[in-house]
Amino acid sequence: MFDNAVVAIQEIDEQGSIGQPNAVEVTPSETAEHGAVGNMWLSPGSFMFREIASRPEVLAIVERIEPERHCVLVALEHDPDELLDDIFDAEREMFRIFQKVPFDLRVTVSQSGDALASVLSSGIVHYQRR
Amino acid sequence: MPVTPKLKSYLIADMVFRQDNGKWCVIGVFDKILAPKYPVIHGTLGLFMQVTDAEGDYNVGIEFRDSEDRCHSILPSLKLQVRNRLATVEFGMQTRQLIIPAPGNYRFCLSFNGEVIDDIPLSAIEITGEQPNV
Repeated sequence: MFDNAVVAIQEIDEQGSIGQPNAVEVTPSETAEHGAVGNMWLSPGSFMFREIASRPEVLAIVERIEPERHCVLVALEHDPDELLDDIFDAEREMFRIFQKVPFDLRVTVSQSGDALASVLSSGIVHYQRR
Repeated sequence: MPVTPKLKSYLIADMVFRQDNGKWCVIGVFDKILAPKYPVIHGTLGLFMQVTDAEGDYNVGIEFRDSEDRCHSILPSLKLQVRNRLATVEFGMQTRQLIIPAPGNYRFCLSFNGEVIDDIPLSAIEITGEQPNV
């Protein structure tokens, strides 16, 4: 606040008066910078995107919003056990985070382009491998 | 135990950020989102709020709920520490990637330490052809 006060005094000298924001001590855990990762809205689909989209076996992550729940569809090229373990670890974390957002998770191995196209057209595409 | 604050005012805008001198900048204020089709992901949205009657440590939560009270998205919680109950506390955040499932009325549900203190309304409107006069 002292730095601000110095700036304010300098500006008052130049302008005659200046508006001053309130000086209440507020300590946000996340900065309110434009585009800060910490301020991304989280839905079940966007959380799954954050957790596994970097894996090469992932073809697509789609979120379909149904009347009673969000349905997260994960399409894989193939399904190694390690990746499935990571997906279900993420699902457990989702149950903890999204206690107020009902969701279910469906994992498919897409053998054809048509099947993948069907998944992609069914909701919000959070990730599609190019 | 911290007292429960009251929401004094709020703004929804394209951009909300704080200058180095402590002043908040709120640019492009709106209360409706227009889109030709839904669901849609709204890229960036800023929230600015003033609360009163706050003192202590708070976990601030914001949920995005529809008119039937279904929660669709949440923001990671924000920690606020307020020392002076008599003052007005201002805070803002720039958020990204808000999913809006369908046209309708929504609200940002603001809670302090798990207790809901108020709602901030937002409408989503589907536009067809020419933009409606809203």
